[in-house]
Amino acid sequence: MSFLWPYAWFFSLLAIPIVLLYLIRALPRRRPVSTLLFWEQIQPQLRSSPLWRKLRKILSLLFQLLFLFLLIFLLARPLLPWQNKESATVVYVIDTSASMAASAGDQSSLDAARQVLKDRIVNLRATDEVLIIAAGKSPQVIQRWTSNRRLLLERIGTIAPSESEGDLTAALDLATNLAEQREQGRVVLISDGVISEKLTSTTTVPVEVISIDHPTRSNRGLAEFSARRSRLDPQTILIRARLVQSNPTNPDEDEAKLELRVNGQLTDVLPLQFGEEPQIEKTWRIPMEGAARIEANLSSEASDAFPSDDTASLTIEAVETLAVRLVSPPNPFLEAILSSLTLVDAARILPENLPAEPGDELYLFYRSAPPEDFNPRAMVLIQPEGIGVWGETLPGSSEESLVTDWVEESDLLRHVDLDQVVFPKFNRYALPPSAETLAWSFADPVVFGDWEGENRWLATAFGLEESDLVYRTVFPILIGNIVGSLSRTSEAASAALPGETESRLQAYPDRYTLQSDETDTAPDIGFFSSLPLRNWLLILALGWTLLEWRLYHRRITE
Amino acid sequence: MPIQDVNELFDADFRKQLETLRLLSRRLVNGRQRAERRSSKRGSSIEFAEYRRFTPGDDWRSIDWNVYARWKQLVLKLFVEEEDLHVHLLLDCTLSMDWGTPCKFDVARQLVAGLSYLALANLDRAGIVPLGNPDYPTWRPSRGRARFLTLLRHLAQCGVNENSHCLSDAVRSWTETRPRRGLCIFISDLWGQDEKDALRALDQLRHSRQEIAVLQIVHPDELSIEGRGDFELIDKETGRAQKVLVDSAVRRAFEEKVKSYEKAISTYCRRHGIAFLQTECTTSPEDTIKAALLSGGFVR
Repeated sequence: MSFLWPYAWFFSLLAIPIVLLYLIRALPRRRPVSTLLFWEQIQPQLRSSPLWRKLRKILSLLFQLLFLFLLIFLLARPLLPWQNKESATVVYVIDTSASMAASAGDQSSLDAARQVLKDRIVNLRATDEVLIIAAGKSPQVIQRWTSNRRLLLERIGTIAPSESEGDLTAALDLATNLAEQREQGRVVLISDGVISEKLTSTTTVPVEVISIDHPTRSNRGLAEFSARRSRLDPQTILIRARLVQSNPTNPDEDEAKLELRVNGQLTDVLPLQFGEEPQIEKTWRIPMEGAARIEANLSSEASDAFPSDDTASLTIEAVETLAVRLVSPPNPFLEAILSSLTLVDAARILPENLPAEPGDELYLFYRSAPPEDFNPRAMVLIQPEGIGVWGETLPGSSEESLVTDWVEESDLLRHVDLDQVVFPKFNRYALPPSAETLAWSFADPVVFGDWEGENRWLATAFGLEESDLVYRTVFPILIGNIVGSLSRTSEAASAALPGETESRLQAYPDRYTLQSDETDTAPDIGFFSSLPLRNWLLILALGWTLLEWRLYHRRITE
Repeated sequence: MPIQDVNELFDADFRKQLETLRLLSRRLVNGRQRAERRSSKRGSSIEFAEYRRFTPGDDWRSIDWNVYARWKQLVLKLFVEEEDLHVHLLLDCTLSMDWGTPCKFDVARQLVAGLSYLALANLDRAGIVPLGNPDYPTWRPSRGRARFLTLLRHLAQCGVNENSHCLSDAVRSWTETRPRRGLCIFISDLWGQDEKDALRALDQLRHSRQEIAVLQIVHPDELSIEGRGDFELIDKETGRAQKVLVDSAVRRAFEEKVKSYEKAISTYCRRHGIAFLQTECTTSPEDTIKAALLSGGFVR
């Protein structure tokens, strides 16, 4: 055993005056009396003292000396063997994910983690340096390298749990990078073990994992809550919820109730019976054009260890109408296609009436080409001629051909089957670098464009009249995909939830591969076992002081 | 420092308090001179005693001529003789009396002075016997107020003897001088050589046919012991030392022994008709003498 301040043992010289003062004090006080007549009569009673009464003086002296050396021992700040193993520079990563807010009784997992960290900080040597990182949604350095214990303890008190899943990977990467900059740096991760599956580490820095025993209380919660507007019917909102339960302690805890509110109005109350199935999925279809705030609240009479995952909310934007302008001579086919689309404000204009400043519309050019400086939000070009954003039309035209390949995974070509589509004639183009080909006729691009940039465009190398009936059939679907991709209302919304692992409150010890140079060496997290050694010694010294007071000062000898 | 000033021993206020008091003797006395105490003798006081037939040699002046006129017989009419009382004030001069604040010996001498005044003021004879101090002369019983100042001076010079601590021996030394019978007031703390020493001393006085009154003077600190812990107790009389560890049990045992001792003294006095009064030296001499009056003791 070593001591952080061995000079405290010089205080052992105080034992000399204590012994001297004790000898002086042990001398009986002289007191003259008028007669010893009565004292001689009770002499037999004085001689029949119990043994411990005769040993009282030496016991009292021993207690005083023991008390002195106990105090010196405390001042010397002894280090236990496991404390000696601490590296000189340590990066503590404390998990602040939402699961750390789970509590068993009065103490949450984060409280226990903070206490473990405080115990480590209290026992720091003067030359040790510590850096603390909070692993929340993004890693945050709580305190830079310092050996100031008071400052570290103050900063530990500011650590708060986040409301989402913690990114331990990023936190560990940051910690190992910082630890590598120091000699013999090491990383200590304090977590409840509810760790994402994504967590991997390839660092060579020693990583010690201190696992906080997670509360084993029953928990049920929303693992997922999302909603979006239907692609076929944007006026309908599709809602999906997934609920999980873990550690049920009795059958009564299987029952729960899920309330769904749309814009504050109770829309549905769904009784849930988990039974043997730990997971329940539910969907709703709610017609609503306007913006909707959807809230889900899971309630149950049984105890719940993790209330953060019992509620979820999200917002769906109102239905948005897309303006589509057909720049073409009268064309009943295209006009019919556009008018059949929902949430589309379609109109046909002549090329000469094209506005100078395009708005937030989709322009469909047929048998015409946009001016060179015309940059609308999006435009579809059917067999354009000349030079423009689509590149340059090569001279000459191809003979009859067919679509040989297309990108089926593209959102624009979803449900668009171009197989057996034959083109009697199509143009060849020299594409600009930003263009992406979606369909080929052998080596020639027949459907291409740039649908990722700010000003989107899509062009076809063939005209409508030159394609066959199959193509005419899939063309409305293509236009529908184009319109759908521009519609903001089709985006899905998800509620911010702690995540599946947190909702289940189950650890995945086999899924993360941190290198640990030793097994969990942290003391058990409990009230008594978490007390530092000096606190125990202090309690012992206090007890001895009371005993000494009882024995010596109060002079109880019976 | 013992009192050596006469004024401190007996001041004017003390004297005023004693003016209306006198010592009480329960027995008939045989004094030396005529005084105010009823004697067993027949004399010439105004208090009628008895009739007796005239025999030759009787004083014919005592013949009751009225009786002779009626019965034609010579009868003597006798009256009670009143004589003085010998008051022996036995002052304990052992070293145990020189203890406490105020000192027990000083208080005892003040009481002796007061009682002496009572005796002299009532035409009795007052004598002072310093028990245990042979170096100091006994004040033989004398009479008359004029002797009081001399007596006070004598008393002021009286001190304790460091060599004597046995009460019974001291009393025996005095009784062997065959003092005249009278009222013997024993003023002492009654702390003797052993627990029977004081009783033996009282036996000595009782056997010498003295009428006895006991005035025990104690100090409050003697009846208990303050503090806890180790003490080395030094006997004032013998100089012997004894180490004791005082705790609540020992203190309780000590107090029980003191009470037992006092009860034994009190029982002895009651059984033998001895007036007994215990007083603390913190009580003023005036109050002590008044207490003796109230308790039906030796002062009235």
